[in-house]
Amino acid sequence: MNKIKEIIKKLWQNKKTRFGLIVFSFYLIIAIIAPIIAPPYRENDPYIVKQTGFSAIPQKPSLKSPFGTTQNQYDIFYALVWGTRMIFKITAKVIIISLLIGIILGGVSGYFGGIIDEIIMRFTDIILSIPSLILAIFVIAILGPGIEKVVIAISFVWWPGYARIFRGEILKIKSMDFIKYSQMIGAKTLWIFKKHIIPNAIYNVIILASLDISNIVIIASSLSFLGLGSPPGYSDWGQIISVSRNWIISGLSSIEYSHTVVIPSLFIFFFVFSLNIISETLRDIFDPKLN
Amino acid sequence: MLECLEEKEIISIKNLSVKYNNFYALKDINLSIKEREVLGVCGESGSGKTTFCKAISGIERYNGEIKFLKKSKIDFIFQDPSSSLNPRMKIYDIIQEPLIVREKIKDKKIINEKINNAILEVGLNSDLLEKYPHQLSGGQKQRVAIARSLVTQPDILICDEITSSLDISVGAQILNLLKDIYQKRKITIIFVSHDISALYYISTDIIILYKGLILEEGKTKDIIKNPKHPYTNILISSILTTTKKENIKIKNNTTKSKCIFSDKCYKYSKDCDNYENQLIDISNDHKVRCIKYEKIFN
Amino acid sequence: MKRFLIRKIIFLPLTFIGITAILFFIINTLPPQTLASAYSNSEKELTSEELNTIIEKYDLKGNIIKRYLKWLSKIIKGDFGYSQTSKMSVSDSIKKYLPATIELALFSIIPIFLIGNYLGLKAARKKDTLFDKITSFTSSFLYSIPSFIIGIILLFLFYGILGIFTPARYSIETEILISSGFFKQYTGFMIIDSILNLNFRVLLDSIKHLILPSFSIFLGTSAIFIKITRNSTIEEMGKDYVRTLRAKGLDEDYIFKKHIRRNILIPQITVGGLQMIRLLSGVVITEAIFDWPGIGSFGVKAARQLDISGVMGFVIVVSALFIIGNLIIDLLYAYFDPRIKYE
Repeated sequence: MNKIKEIIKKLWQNKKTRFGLIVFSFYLIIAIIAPIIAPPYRENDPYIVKQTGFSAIPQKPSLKSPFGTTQNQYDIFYALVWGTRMIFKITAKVIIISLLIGIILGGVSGYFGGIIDEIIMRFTDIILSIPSLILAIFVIAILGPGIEKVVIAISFVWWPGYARIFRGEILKIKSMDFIKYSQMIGAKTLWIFKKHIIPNAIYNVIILASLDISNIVIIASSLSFLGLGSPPGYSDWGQIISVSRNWIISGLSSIEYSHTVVIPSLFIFFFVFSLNIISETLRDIFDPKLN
Repeated sequence: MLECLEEKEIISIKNLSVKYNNFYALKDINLSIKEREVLGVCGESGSGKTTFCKAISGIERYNGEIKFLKKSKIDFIFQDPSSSLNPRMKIYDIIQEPLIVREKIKDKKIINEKINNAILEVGLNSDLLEKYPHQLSGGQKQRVAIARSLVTQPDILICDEITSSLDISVGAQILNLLKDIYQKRKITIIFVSHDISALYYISTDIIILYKGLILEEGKTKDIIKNPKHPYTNILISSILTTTKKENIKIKNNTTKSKCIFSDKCYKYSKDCDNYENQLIDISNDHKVRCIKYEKIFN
Repeated sequence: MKRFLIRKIIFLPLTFIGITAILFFIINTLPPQTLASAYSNSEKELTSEELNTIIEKYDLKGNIIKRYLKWLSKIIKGDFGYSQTSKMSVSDSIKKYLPATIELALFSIIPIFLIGNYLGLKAARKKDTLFDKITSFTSSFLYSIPSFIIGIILLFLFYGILGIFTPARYSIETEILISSGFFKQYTGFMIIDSILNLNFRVLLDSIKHLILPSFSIFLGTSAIFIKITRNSTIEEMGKDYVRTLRAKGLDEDYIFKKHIRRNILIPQITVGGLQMIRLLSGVVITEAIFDWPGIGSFGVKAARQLDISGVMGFVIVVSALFIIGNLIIDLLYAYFDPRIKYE
């Protein structure tokens, strides 16, 4: 816990990263207060985008809809705000699930070695040899579209990376004498994992996970954009871009409707950009120590 | 130099050998370790001394017999305190571990008491308990390792090169500490080191290991003052300059001898060729594996 | 070096088998009824009777390893089954759509390497000047924008507002030429085919359609290549042998052309190779944005419609490309790194 405070302090000191942290917190706050600033349109499912009217043509920003609307009157502000909440939910779930699986399998693999290690490592090798978006598309083809399926698909593609890193850390630690000592005095394997291995090995994995957030956001949005995630009319960044694109392709678009493209793009861009700035500095902080 | 006056045997080792694939890490080890003995195990890397520790600890498979003549608690101290202490654990928790794992003590009061006693016994301050290993010096860390190993009152303590990664003065302090502990408790120590002067200081008995075989064994007094194996002599000549002679050194001979030390021995001659490494009794406790033992001084 | 390469080449089929095995086992988590539709060759929805016949015929409830081996032997021969999405066999679909993707990929990679190399070298030579700072900043900035956003902004700008470029691979006129048989697609690569057909209108049309998507890819992925070129060049420039050559009086340009350029090839190949990954994944998005009829579009459509054979074919082909691509990188690496030669 103290270490996290230390890290945030260091990030704050760097001017670039301070900007990144502020922007990121801004989005975090939006995600949390979404029900307040964009009151749920439908009670059963607040993620269904508010529609402000019946026109098929996008409306410019006004008092009624601060960011304007897309075709069929989907309120862009509503969609982006609830989409922020959605993306935080998806990313958090993916990271937790893939970390859990990665640590368990990587841990078993690294600590016990032998055939189990071989099998698990071959398995991760194979998954890692297929580009992540492609494999995620495959998994969704099997499971069917939907947000929960997106979470499962991305977690499936993501855990091998964590498993490998964790295993590597364990191999480094396994040969340390303090592990041998615990084994020699008869400590059970679970005890050794809990007290010695995990506290030492997990550090790097957590860092990796935090650097990964922007990648997960991009792949989740990409899957939605391709129509494999949320259904149409849902508050999801990928969906919004897809709707935006449809209007351009329809041939009816022109500079008048730039708000349908520019606003969502800038909104998503700043989020990813802030994450990237933070990642860069995080990497620098931890690099010398990693060695 | 310490002397052990006990007669009761605590560890009986008969025909111990450890084989890895094609070679013997240990061979033909026969020892009777008495209670309150400080057995010094001297050898270079590859001599089998670590394998010896592992075998006694029970984490290495061996052939032969290692019998403990009563139920004994064994504890260990490793060479490098940076590696033997978990960098993410407080000192308090490090010392606490054997109490929880081995003794299964749950009462916080008892644990506190034992830890405080242990930390005082090794000459450290109890404010160290809240610190992490990287905040301590090498000597302090090694003392923590000793405290950890003593907190459950073990019967047998195995020390594997515990002074080798410390400065000489710090190492000397540790040796003194160990001596104090030994004199206050009823404890048997197996002290492994390549440094024969340390063994001279602290052991009651010494065995000299070379390529898995004991080349010489006996009471410290005998080994140091009256060495019978050329290898022992080489080791001793590095600390006792009075007996140093020009030609007592490691040689490079090409021989087809059956004696395991021939190709490095300064006393090698053709009579050694047929010597098959049998153990020869010189006196009650003093044994050697060499046929030139009568005339090791040139 | 030979042993090193032979090992890599032997591992290739093993990896391929591993991939197919995992994909197959994942698919078999579906119930037999759903699987049956993948094995059928008709367009209609099947009755439960017909489903059962297929289940019987392909032993869909039987031993999984036997089925895997049978299925694998078909795959190796190129038989991926029938695709509901494109209404033709999957292998025909691949033949139809893959060239478009490869053409787009090549059309994008070449500028990335050429322009990226040029910018990187220039930035290194003009280190810390305005040019360097702008190049570095711009490329990093662009790299951090998600590819679908770059795509959509370009699409909006050049199609929505300016109307200069259009999405898709060719115009309606070209489409008519193809479907009426006046334009023969010999290779599936529009640029080559238009030359073979001696039709320069179509050639220009194809290139015009390639520009926007490949520019999108360029903006999104060139940064790392520019960075590695710049950084390795700076490193080389500081080395002793370069100082020696300068002291000997050799011209700076000559030193660059003959020496530095060669020595930065290895990091360039390594990084350039890694960029392939981003490209392969990214091409799916780019194809979706610009309505490019490539393997990515096909795969995504198939995924949306639960076209199992289609998706399977898509993933296997892309993975195969990926593995082969990696092998080529390893070969190039071994060729250019003198240290490996002597191992």
